[in-house]
Parts: sequence; C-alpha cells; structure tokens
Amino acid sequence: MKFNCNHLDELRQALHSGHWPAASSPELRAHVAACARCTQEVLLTTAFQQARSETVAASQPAPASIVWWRAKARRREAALKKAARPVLAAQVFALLVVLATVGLMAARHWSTVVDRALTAPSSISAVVDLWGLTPLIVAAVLLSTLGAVALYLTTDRS
Amino acid sequence: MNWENIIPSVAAPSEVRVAEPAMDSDQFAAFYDRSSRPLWAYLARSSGDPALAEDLMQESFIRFLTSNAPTDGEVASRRYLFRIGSNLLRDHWRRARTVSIDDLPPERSAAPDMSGQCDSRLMLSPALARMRPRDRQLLWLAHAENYSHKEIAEITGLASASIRMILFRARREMSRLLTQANA
Repeated sequence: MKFNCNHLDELRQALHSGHWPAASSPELRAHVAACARCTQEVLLTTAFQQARSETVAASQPAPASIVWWRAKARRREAALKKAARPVLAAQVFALLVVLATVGLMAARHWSTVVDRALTAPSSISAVVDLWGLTPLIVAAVLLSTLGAVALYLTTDRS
Repeated sequence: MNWENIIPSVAAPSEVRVAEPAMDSDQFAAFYDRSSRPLWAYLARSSGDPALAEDLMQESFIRFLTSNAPTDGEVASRRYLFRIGSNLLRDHWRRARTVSIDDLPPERSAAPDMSGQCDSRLMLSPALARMRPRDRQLLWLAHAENYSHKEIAEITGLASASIRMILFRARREMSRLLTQANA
C-alpha cells in the first residue's frame, strides 16, 4: 500500500465536510474504488466519525460553573502560595542566623564553660565567678527559644 | 505579632492578587459547551474508561484556566486543551508503571469495552480496544478530530516523522481489524 496519495487531501475534505460520497465528483469516487490508501482512509474516517458522534452524544459533562469555580479556587491557592514565598524565605533566613549565632558562641566560649563547670563545685568563689557567664546563658536560652519558634513557623505551612 | 506586620511586602490573604484567566465566565461557558464533549470523547476512547475521562476532562479545563492558555482563537485554545488532556492521560498511564507509553500492552489500558454505551455500527470499540494506547490516541486525533500531523505533534509532543510512521502502521492494523469485524 502507498504511504500517501495525491487525492488524499481532496478526499479528507469531502469526508469531513460530509460531502462523501454523494456530493463528491465521479472521478474521486472512481479513484477511491481503485486506490487502497484512499479506501482505507474512507473506512477509518467513516468509522471514527461515527464513533465520535455517538460518544459525544453519550457524554454528560459537569456544569461549566463547577469547573470555573474549581479553577478559581486553584488560582487563588497558587496566588497565596506565591505570596507566602517571601515569608518562608524570611523564616528560613532567621532560622539560619539563629543557628549560626548559637554555633559561633558555643564554639567561642566552649573551653571557658567547660573549665568553669569543672572548677565550680570546688569553691564558692568559683560559683561567684560564674556570674560572668550569665549573659551567655541568657542569650543561649533566648536564641534557643527563638530558634524553636522560627522552626515551628517554617514547618507550619497551614 | 503578625508576619504581615514584620514584612510589609507580604500581602494579607484577602489582598492577594489572583491572576485572571484568558476568558471571562461567559466566554468560558460557551467554550466549555463546545469543547467538553469532544475532549471527553477523545479521552474516553483513548483510555477506554469513561469515569477516568470525566476526571481528566475536568482537570484539563482547570489547568487550561489556571495556565497561560493561547488567546488567538478557539481553534488554538481547543488544541491547547487537547494537549493538556493528552499530557494528563500520559501521566496517568505512566503513574502505574515506569515504562514508556509506547511499550504499554493494549489490555493494560484498554479497560472496559465501551461498546455497550456507544455502539458503533462498524465495531470500532472492540477494534480500538485491541490497539495500543498511543495508536488509539493518534488515530482518534487524525480521523475523528481531523487534526493534521503537525497539529497532532503539537498535541502529543511527538515528532511529525514519528507520527507519520506510527499512524501508517496503526491505520493498517485498524483497517484489518475493522474489515475482520465487518466480514
């Protein structure tokens, strides 16, 4: 069978406009009767057009208003998500700053904390010396609290 | 304390600007009325599953309304809609297995025979059910919807040359099945 035929365009036009076979030229009808490719085109297009008419008639689509409303809700959801992006970025940034600050302070004062903790139980004067760490402890507690809040806000997408 | 007060650039939910679709509700209703049935027919005949076709059809329209749909006429809009539907159908077929749609056996996605609902005189339904999903799609677009190879390429994402070859083989197989059924 031929891959293509010169009369295919004319035949397709006749098939899809409903002119085949009654309103088609006798030459075209004679050609189709002799051409395997065009006969196949008639067989398939007639079958598919018939199936299309029946399937379209059988369909019962949902009302357009429901689809419109669902699309509107989807667009709004997308817009909210887009608007919330700066908030998420700020939350993540705040969390990173808190974690970095805590990490830096811990690294810087770790040896002092360990030394004083080890010597503290041995004398009262060492306990008094511990007041020097008070700001650090307060800062650590504060940053931990803020970090927890930032973490909560970052993960709480609802 | 409220995040919206801390970061001024963030709008409150009530102030969020929602993107407007390419058409208003009346235009959409008219477009939906003209396009929903052909799209459903295409999806139902390609998938063999009317319920799935209904879901995919609604999702296609929703995505059509939420995306940058073409605004240069109904023909282009409808072609874009069919493209969305084709992509959804392909995603559905791929979800179950991670193989190419071309390798899917016909029975894998043929599902129920629709001949009870839509009884074609020429026994199209049983013949279609024996074709591969990709062949069913292309045959439907070419012969039921009268799309050219170029338009089918746009809808399915396949190359025009591939479509020509696939359609050649699919036509031959389909006409053999139809001839058998009519005999």
